[in-house]
Amino acid sequence: MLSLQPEGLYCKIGDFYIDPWKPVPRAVITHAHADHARRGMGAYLAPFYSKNVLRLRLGKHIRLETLAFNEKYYIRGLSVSFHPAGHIPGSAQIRLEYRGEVWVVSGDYKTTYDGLSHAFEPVPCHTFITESTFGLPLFQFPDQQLVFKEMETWYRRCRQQNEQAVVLAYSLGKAQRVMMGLHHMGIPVVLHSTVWETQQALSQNGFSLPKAPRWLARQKEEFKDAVLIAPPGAARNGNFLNKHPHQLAAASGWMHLRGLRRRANYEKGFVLSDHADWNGLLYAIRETGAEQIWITHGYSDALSRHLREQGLRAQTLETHFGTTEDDSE
Amino acid sequence: MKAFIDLFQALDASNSTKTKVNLLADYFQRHPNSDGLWALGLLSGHLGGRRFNTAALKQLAMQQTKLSEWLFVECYSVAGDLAETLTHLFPEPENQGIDQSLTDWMLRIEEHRALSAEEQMAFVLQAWKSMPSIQRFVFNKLITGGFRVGVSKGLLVKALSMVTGHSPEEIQFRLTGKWQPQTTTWQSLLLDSNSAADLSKPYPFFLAHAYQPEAALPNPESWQIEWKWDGIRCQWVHRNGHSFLWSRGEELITDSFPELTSGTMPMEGDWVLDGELLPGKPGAWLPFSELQRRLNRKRLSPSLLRDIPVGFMAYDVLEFQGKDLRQEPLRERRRILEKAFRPSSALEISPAWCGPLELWTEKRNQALQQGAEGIMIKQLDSFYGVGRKRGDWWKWKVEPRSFDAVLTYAQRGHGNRANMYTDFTFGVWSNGELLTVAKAYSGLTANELAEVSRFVSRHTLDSFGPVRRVEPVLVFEIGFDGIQESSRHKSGIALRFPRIFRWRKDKTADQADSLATLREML
Repeated sequence: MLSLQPEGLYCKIGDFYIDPWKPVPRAVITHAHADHARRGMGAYLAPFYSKNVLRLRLGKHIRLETLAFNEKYYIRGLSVSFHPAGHIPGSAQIRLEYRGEVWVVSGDYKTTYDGLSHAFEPVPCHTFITESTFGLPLFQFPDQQLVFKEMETWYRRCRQQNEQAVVLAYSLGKAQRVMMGLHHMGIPVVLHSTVWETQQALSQNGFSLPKAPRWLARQKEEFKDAVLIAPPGAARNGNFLNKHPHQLAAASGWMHLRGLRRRANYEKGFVLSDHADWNGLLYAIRETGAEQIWITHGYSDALSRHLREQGLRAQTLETHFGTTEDDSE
Repeated sequence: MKAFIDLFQALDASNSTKTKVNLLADYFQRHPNSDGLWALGLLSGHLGGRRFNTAALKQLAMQQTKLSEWLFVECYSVAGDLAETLTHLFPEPENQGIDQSLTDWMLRIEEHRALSAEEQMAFVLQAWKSMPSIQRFVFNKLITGGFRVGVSKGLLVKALSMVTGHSPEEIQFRLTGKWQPQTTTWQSLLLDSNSAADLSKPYPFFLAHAYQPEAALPNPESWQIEWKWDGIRCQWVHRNGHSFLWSRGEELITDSFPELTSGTMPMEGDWVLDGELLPGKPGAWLPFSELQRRLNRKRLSPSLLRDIPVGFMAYDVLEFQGKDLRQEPLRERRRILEKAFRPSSALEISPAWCGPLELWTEKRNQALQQGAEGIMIKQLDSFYGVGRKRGDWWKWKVEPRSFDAVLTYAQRGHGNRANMYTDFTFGVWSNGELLTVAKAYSGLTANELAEVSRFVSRHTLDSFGPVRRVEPVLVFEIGFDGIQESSRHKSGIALRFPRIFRWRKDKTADQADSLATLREML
């Protein structure tokens, strides 16, 4: 059904690629992050809820068709459908069925509900191609409610010390998740321009997100009570906070590891992952009932070896996913 | 333990030394008792390493989580920290235990050290099951040792100085030596006036800065130069008829070198010498690598004592006839050292010279032949200070030498280098094969490290536990300070302080150096 080609995962029967990393005539896209949705494809097929962000990121004039979740698209006797992956707003798993055989490509996913993205649904299949970003038992993430509580405490302390609270979160997905969490606790937010633009695109695509102002350096004094949400890149290369007293916190699954947070020099790290943790991965794999598992980006060797020890047919698949800085956890 | 955990978290979250000092001072202010002592001992590393056998802890974790050993090793290698690995493999407990003070915990831990392995592990498991993860992490740090949270000794001293009103020098002196939280009190260690009574106490070491020839020192004739010896910096404390050897890390190493302190003493009365422990005997010193065979031995065999004796190369006297000489100028201390101390089969007085810059250069050029690393430059009028104070003591090492080697193995780093390949092994050519000659961890920029780390993940040929064998493609220039024959290494040579000078992106693996080239440098 699928094979690995220099351009990406190829489906010969339907003559299309899934999340290809080189330009091809037809691409089926799981979600709009840069390592999965790249420029230069002849035509794109994607989940409905990713429509506006895809156009925002890849250009207004791309040839794009979208499908609702669970809606089937037929090509030469093969059916293609999208199923919620719970990773970010509009993210999907791709299900392929041909003559009774079912394959599912997970894209990126998490099995816990983040309050915004359509919740992950396990899709029964014969072959499951799964990511493994956090595929080690080291990664067992806390409940997001606990993390938001911690964020609230930190925010109050920042206010006391008269410092701007800044949460670094990638602009599509994590940023909105942080925003919703803060919104529910009654904490105001202000958005860095990249995040703000993404916010507009998502709102127009049917997501109901609270309104929030756009960060302007010259009005920074007005935003002191708000948490500034900015992409990690902005903190690295911009001097948008120049001399403005602030504390930097990152929201990412990687903040689970103390060494990584310290290396990045963040004052605070919030363990908020958009990828499944170890237990989530094992749960998803089990629920599909798949006989064969292919494992892509992450700790793929470890996860596949572990699954083989459990008697499953599992192997590593070398892809180019998980390689772009800005959208990675 | 809550207060200590809060302190730990706050320290861990701060990059500002001022904030850290305030946090510490605040904690000590509130806990001028055994909790404060334990915290001080833990944060300064004074209380040393692990409390329980780490292999047993790993076994316990594997048995409880039912993970394969290789998977546990993989997790450890990614986390880069054993305490953290042991923390993350377990879920949050449903019921939390009652909070106990830091002292209570430490006493319970110490108490269990004397018990059987089963009892120790039952205690640890009980603790793991009752603690939320942050507390479990701190507990694991307590039992696995190495409590490093970016608090230097200097910061602790500053905070204690704020709390007690003593000068930093006084605090340093009070903290030196082998005090234990169980056998002393906050009052007697830090506040009472007679705390200097502890006989074994060394003085804080005075350290040198690297000399930059372009920043010329005024008036060359007013400086004393000596060899910079390549051994273990050490204070020999002799009081009331008892001798103690202290290494620079303030470890008491007397028992490892019985030949020094059991013979005839070079001088009567109470005195303290500063100098270097060297392998061999006066006039016939051996290379530093030989000394390593004497370290960390549980038992010293007679043959080892015979083959590798040690001697003391003295270059300063800090106490004489019971009097603290540190405020005397170097020229006076030197006069006493030369006049009062008798050289013996175990003691040599390090030679010293005064002279023009030409003499400095000449001596430095002769250093390697002498078995020295370079020269020391000390102001004749200088006091014996505390720590690394700029201005009076300088070290001028010989130029390091270098060669080009190929990256052959890599391992993930620890601490803030976790989940990144940062520990490297390098090989040079010998009969068409790459023979390991050096391991190095430092010398690359953060960006280069990230790039090499990515290369390793993508070009791994084999894994042996946490070690990755990588395609032999990348070439690095490796610098080192000394080179010696070694029967313990397959390559037959041992390098002193190897480090990465630069990444030779312009070279391919076949252009790296051969073992023959290295042997020519012997």
